[in-house]
Amino acid sequence: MKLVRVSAMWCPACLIMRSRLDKIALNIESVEYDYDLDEEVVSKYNVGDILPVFILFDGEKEVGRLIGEKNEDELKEFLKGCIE
Amino acid sequence: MTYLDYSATTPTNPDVLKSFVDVSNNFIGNPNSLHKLGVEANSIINAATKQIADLLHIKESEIIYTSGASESNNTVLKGIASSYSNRGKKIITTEFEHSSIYGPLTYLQKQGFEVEFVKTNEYGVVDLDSLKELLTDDTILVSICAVNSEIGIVQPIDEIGELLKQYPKCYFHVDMTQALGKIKIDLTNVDLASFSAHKIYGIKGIGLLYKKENISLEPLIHGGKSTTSFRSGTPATALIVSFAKAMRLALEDLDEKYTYISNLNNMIKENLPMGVTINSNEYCIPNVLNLSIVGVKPETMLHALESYDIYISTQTACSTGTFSKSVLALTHDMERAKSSIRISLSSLTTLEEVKYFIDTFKECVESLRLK
Repeated sequence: MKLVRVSAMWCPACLIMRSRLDKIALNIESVEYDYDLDEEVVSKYNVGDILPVFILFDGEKEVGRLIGEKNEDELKEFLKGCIE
Repeated sequence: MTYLDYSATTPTNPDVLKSFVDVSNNFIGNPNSLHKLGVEANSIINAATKQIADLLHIKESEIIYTSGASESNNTVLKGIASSYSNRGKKIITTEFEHSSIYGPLTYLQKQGFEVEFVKTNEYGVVDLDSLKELLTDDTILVSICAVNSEIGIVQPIDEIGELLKQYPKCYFHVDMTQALGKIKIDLTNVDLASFSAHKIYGIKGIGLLYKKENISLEPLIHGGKSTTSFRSGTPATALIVSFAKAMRLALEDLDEKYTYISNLNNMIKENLPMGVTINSNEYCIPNVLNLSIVGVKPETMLHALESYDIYISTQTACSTGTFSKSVLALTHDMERAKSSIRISLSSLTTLEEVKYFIDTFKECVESLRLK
């Protein structure tokens, strides 16, 4: 499993979600891309208007997507099975 | 042309421009040069700095010139974080800041700093109890804008500053960019503040950082003494002098300008077409009127008005994305956030311009709704 995150520098919800994620011990690889600086990579993930976007991959297959600001419980539920 | 985008930038005042041209022509020396031309340039900078210090009721030594408020904001956040990381790593802010606050905060968060958001009430005003709850021994900085750029919400800066006096290890930074020249400013309870000239009919490319004495600040740009050691680079003599002039003019007749703009703002609000929601509230400056036209894309409305030579904004000029983060934070309504426009007024706005806007806006709303 792998977690791909798309966020932006100008986005307060991205700051909030990064802070929430930092408090969770993940047992999977996590990579973060910047919406503006990593435009080419980000374009592959079909990201819409709302940031951040958390995408869970099992191999090459997308198995889950969390969009925008969510509370700690929602984030933990999304990452169920990926937390130490 | 009907320009209603004064919060994005303002036209340069002709007197300010004249002072820039005169100083550029007559004070050609590098202010740090020891010869007569340098001394003359240095002397006129000192006079301008004294004028700004008097206007803001601060000391001349507390003024750091920058390229604008974005640089001032970056300097404060990165500089305080760098200088005081031994004390703690927590920084508190709001969801109503400019992107030049969120950018450095993102950078710092990735370096291990903790970023917390204070709660705001239904009007977007900072909840002091929430701030008290967040403040801990390891909080090194609270950064809150005096006036939000998209909606115009005014924060209780004096009360926040008063509360923060109980936390001597935590500094208080205020982004004053949208407040200067619009409402009264008091820096008594503020440790650091950012300002920009181009929002007050000054020239683009000059800003200011107020830093109370005895606060250490790691510079963003290293390279030796300029007007201060906190920001290197050859002092921009003509920009500094013109900034002082712009500030003096902007602070004249503040109450009269406020009343005049309030009347224009009320006139627009009283004549809005059906289906237009007002996002700005009674805690906002009258200069900014944020509206949502659900079902109409803001950029479509912007271009429709542009075809009538009327110029407004969608969100702020300094943000990206397709919705207003501030409107979403205030209303928690994505449809309103996705359809918001900002009209920003000035003492230069005429009654005729407002009437023209009201009529044209009605026409545009009706025709775009039919599509």
